[in-house]
Amino acid sequence: MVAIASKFKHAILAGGVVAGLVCAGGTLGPAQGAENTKVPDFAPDANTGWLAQDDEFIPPPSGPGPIRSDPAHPYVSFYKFPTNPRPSFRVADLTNPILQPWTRERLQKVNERSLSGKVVAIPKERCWPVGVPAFLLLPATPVYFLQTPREVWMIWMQDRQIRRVFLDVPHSANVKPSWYGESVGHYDGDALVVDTIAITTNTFVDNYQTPHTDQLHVTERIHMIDQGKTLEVNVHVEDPGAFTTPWNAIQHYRRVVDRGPLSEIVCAENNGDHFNHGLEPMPEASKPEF
Amino acid sequence: MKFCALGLAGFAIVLSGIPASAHHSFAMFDAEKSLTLEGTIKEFQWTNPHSWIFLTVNNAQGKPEQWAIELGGPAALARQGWVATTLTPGMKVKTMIHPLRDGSNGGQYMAVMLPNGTQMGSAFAAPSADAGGAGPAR
Repeated sequence: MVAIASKFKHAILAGGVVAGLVCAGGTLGPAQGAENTKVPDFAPDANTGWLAQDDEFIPPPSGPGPIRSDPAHPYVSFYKFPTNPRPSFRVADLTNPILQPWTRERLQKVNERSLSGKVVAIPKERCWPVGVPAFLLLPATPVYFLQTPREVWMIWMQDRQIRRVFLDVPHSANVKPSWYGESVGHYDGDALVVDTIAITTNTFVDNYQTPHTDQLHVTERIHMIDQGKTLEVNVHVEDPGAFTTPWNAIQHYRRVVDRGPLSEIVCAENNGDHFNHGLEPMPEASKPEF
Repeated sequence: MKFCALGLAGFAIVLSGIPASAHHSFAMFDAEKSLTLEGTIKEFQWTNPHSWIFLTVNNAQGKPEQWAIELGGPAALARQGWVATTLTPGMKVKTMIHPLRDGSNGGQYMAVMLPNGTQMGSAFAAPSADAGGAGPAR
């Protein structure tokens, strides 16, 4: 009886936490800033989401930028150009000076598969967590925000991939690498600034499958432009183990209100290789990880 | 159950649109071709991230072959009037797909004609002049 009561208590507590988050994000709006100034409200209601406008990064106006496609094999994004009858798989531009020799070599292998005509599945298509900053490149369904005084959650609807940003706290002294790393953040005027470290090297920084090391450090400045119709994310990436220099990138999201509220789309329900394309395996644990 | 017709069907993309919940690139499909298959439903999987039709189609030699046809997830299909029992095993249907570029037996769903004449999805493309005869034509 005690055990049952304890479980019931935990269920109530868990429900309360979720309800609190939903209320804070969907009804009450985000917290006020330290100076009692109004912070940006990315989630004024449960239907408001943000749809990524591309599945590759926008280069910065100047300076080192993200991996883009090989000019000899321009990438035609299925998501950006849905009516184009000739979407293509990605072939990375290996001449980008940000690449260290080993990262270039890894990308070369992905390019070879793509150029061979084989299907190249990116991690999210095989139900893998995508990490940071590749989370910004998840297309097709919106990202929803939950903003509370202590945390901001970013949830991609399609596979419930979730990032948690802890507000106004420093990074942990000894943080264990994880799929989305440890994100801390704060509001700076009209922007949410997010600082992320400790991202597992099982992830890539983009959909070209550019690798990184455990030194990856990502800073994002998330803010609305265009009278609130667009969410802009300015990304700064540093990883001296993988790149020759820090680089910057941009992503734009379009505000959408006709896709919500958040619904359930579970990637692993039926994501078999029914066309026998020799796709990469889906996540499978070889031992318990409790 | 046999017969397949080929036609240019770039317009069909505009008619049907890309599923809002598309889970992967459709670069594997040849959207400039459409292929009409007549066959018998072996299985219909009403699942995320994609639903699937497994269709038994007789080839040009009259030998049954299995085709895998990928559709959107239940949420997207439901908005188009689909339910989990729209297709049931044994049902004889006509379907139009964008075939796989690698030539194997599969493709992207564009339309299905049910036994009672109800059509789901976009309009069927008109067969091209050279698509007569039995068996898949590409």
